Formats: sequence, C-alpha cells, structure tokens
Amino acid sequence: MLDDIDQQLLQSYQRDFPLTENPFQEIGAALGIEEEEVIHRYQRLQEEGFISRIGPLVNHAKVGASTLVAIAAPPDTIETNAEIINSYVEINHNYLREHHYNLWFVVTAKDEARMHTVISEIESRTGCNALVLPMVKSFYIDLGFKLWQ
Amino acid sequence: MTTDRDIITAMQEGLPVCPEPYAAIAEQLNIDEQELHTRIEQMLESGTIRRVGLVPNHYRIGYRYNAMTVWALDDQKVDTIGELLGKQPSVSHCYKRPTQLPSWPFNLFAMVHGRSLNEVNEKIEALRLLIGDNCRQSEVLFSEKILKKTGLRLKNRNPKNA
Repeated sequence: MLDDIDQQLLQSYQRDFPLTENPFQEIGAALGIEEEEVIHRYQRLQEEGFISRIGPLVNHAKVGASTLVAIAAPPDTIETNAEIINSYVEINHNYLREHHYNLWFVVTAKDEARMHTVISEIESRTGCNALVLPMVKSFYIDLGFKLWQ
Repeated sequence: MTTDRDIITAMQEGLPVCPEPYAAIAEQLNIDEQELHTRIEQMLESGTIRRVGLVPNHYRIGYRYNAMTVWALDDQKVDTIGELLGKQPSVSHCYKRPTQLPSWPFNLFAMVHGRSLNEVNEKIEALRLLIGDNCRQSEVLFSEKILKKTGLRLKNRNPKNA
C-alpha cells in the first residue's frame, strides 16, 4: 500500500524534479528522510508499476511531428489491427475506446513526411480510413496530475 | 556535437534511480554533468521539454476509468470554452482539434479520469453544466483497454549510441 511518504513522492515531483547532482538527497531533505530511503522507495514504486519513469516530458511538436489518429475497426479485426498499429515505433499510445471509432492512437515521428507515411501505411494495412486530428491548441497548463485531494 | 535529440534519446527510458542519475546519463553521452544540466535547462526554457519529473502510472494508482469527452462547438466559442474546461481540476488535458465533416464534428477534447465510473460521470455532468447550450453535440468515449503506452521514443539515428 502507499503511505503518506509514497503519496508525496508520487504527487510532488511530477514537475520540478531536482536538476542537481544528487536529486534524491534534495528530495529527502525536503521530506525529512534519508537519501537512501528516497531511492529505495522510488525503486519500489517503479518495480511495482506506480511510476512509468522519471525523466523529461518532451513537447512532441518541437522535436518532430505528432498527431492523434482514430480508426473504426470492425469488431472482429480489433486485435489484428491493434497489432499492426503497435508494431510502429512511432506509436506511443493506443487505446481501445467504446465508440464507432474504436482505436485511438498517437503518432509521433521525426518529421511530417514520416508521420504521414506511417498513417498511410496503417490505412492500407488495416483497410480503415484514418481520422487525423492534430492538436490545434492546448488549453491545459500542465502542472502534473493531482492524484490525491 | 551532442544534439538535443541525443540527450532526449539518452533520457527517454528514464533516469536511473541511483545517487547520481544525471552523471550516469552524462557519462553515456560523453559530456560533463554540468553541460547536461545546462542543456536540460535550455530545453525547458525553449519549451522542447515541458517538464522534468516522474510520470505516474495513473491506472496502477487507482484511476481505472478514463473518458475522452468530445464537444462540437461554434468556432467563435471554442477558445472560451476550452479555456474554461482547461481550468477545471477534473480535466487532465484539453485540446482544440480540427473537425472532419461529416464523420467527425467535434473540435474540443477534454480528458477526465476517475477512480470509479460514478466519479467520472459526475465530473462529466459538471462539465456539461458549465458548457450549457454552447454545445451542439457531444460524446463520451470511455477507454476499454490500453493497447500500448510508452513514453516518447525517438529512433536512434546513430547506432553506436544504442
């Protein structure tokens, strides 16, 4: 189970993770615990799957091209089509959603040309037309997700 | 010359959880740790990196329900409504996207997460009240299954860095 310290470790360092030689020591000092304990807890939280990773969140638009895409896969083809989509290294999210458009994925490529190639290949291999929905504007100020009230 | 792309590639699997995580990445890149700090700061300033931090696995923490709400709004209203939704604590992302008529009339997307179906539905009802009659049509797409979820993966152009 997650105790108060685990919750703080998960909640408070979604942004502004210390950019210093010994970041875990700094976190420990802030929370009043030893560096060793911070490291031990983060290792455990990572092993148990509570943390995907610790690192930079990249603005996809600035290092390449990125878009949300959806296809309406006939129910009996969902699995095969999901495998086709997931086989691309350019796909980093793929969700099955309850809708006529049921496969929703994000394509992130080194440039626009490669992004469109991936989308066209997926269209021809799945036989489905892609709904291509790039972000036009973001209204959200990303402060990290509030996990506990 | 170590490019921003090289640095992002070296860090995309995450920092190692050890006393000197940046030193380990710097060594891998064959640069000074101080240079690595400076370069990360520069990328934060330029917006190439949005933030440095831990990426929680929401699902594992108990947020089992996630809904993508989509709204069809008039072009003149979408920005105002977008700003309003973006400010709601219940909304984790809020984006304007193009429509694709006739199959896709929705131009505003807001993601809502919750620990129960009820919680998510209540949050969505609250959004519906805020938006009122500004919206012509809306839909809620619950996620049934995560089929793939990884961080950004840049292909390594230089195999010797792999």
